[in-house]
Amino acid sequence: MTDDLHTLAGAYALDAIDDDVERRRFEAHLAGCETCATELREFQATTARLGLAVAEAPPPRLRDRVLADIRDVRQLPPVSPRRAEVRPRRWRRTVAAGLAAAACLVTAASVGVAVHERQRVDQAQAAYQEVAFVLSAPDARSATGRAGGGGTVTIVASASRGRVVVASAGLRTLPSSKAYQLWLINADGPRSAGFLPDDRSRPVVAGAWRPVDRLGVTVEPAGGSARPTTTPIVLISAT
Amino acid sequence: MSDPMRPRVRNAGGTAFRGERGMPAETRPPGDGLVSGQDADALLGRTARGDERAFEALYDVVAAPVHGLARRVVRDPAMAEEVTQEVMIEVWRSAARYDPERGGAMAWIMTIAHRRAVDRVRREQAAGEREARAVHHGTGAAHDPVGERVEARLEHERVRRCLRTLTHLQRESVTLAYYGGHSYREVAELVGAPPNTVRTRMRDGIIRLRDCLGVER
Ligand SMILES: [Zn+2]
Repeated sequence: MTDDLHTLAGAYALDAIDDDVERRRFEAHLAGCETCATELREFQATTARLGLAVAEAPPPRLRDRVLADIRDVRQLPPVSPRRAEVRPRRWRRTVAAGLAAAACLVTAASVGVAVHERQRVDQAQAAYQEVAFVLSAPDARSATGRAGGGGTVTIVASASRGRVVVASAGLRTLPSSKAYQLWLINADGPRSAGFLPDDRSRPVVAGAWRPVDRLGVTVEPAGGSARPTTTPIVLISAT
Repeated sequence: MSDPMRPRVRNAGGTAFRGERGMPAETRPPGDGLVSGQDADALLGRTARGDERAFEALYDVVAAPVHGLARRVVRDPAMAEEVTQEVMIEVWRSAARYDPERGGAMAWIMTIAHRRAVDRVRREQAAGEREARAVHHGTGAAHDPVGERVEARLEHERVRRCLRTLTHLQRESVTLAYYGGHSYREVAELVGAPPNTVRTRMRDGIIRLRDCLGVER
């Protein structure tokens, strides 16, 4: 079954899977299979060459039309889990459950979307990519810490990806004037790594993570602080 | 039918162009798809930040490959133009979603282009219109050979040479899917082989192409 899926990378790169269920299953597999992801990247670079080989300039009028059209087309923002519309519960459970679940996450998101809405599926999946990118790393490590005032914080960190995914559960609700600020802490001191989102059940990805870093969470004014001003409610090491 | 690229080879000018550039026939010339690819990377980065001038320049680099591919897959000239337009607008819209770690800008754009073209073909097929429209407009007529770039001709030669290194079934499987827009099940019917065999040949064929074309790994 899994072997079967691996061999689909070629057909997928050629857009030759016309069965939506089969394609989704492969896409879900892709999110958790480094081999297929790498292979697909190479395959798409290869099939692009097949396309370049048949280049043929379009009529000049098309250029004018396209350039006029884009003036009315809003550009999408970069992918960011903060902006992503995800199902909170599933996220929290999945991240807490650890790495192997990355593929299931994407499947869960894909299933139940109407068959011909492939574009929307693509967009939804793009939103998961940043988290899946860390979760699917071969060197990803997870750790959970119990917070001082109750609740837990879970991290999944990957040195090769240089990023850490942070998810929380059951943390004390803060007044709107306060926020949970994240810090990456090592011998050089703490660096701010953003905030836990207001929708606390969503994971966030913090960049520039190194294996020497520990993740700390402090309560800060809603606008954030340059340096921690309170004692961390939790301090987690991923190694 | 054994080489779907063949009908579109337009003239034998390749040698003359190589001579002009002072390049031996077998080495990779500058100004080929890979160099354009680097241009595309930089231009797409600027496009992502809303730079319309960069997008204009990007259009000039990628419109011909996108349109050529669309023509090949959907066949109908008017439809190919529509697909090209859709793809270029999609590139503008999603530029910020492009992730350089997952491959070059050119590959990203061509992937979008192929997917759009194939989606279009499948929709038309479902509506039963494709054949009728293709017949109505005529297929295979080159409408702008002057606009074809030197790089494209060289790339064409290289790809054609590499396609010849594939086994017959590998080549059929890859080209019927890529240029013909057929699914692996359809290809299986067309060539009279089991679907599982075809999808394996697709993968084997692309691997062989990848290695022959020297795609970066
Ligand atoms: Zn795989």
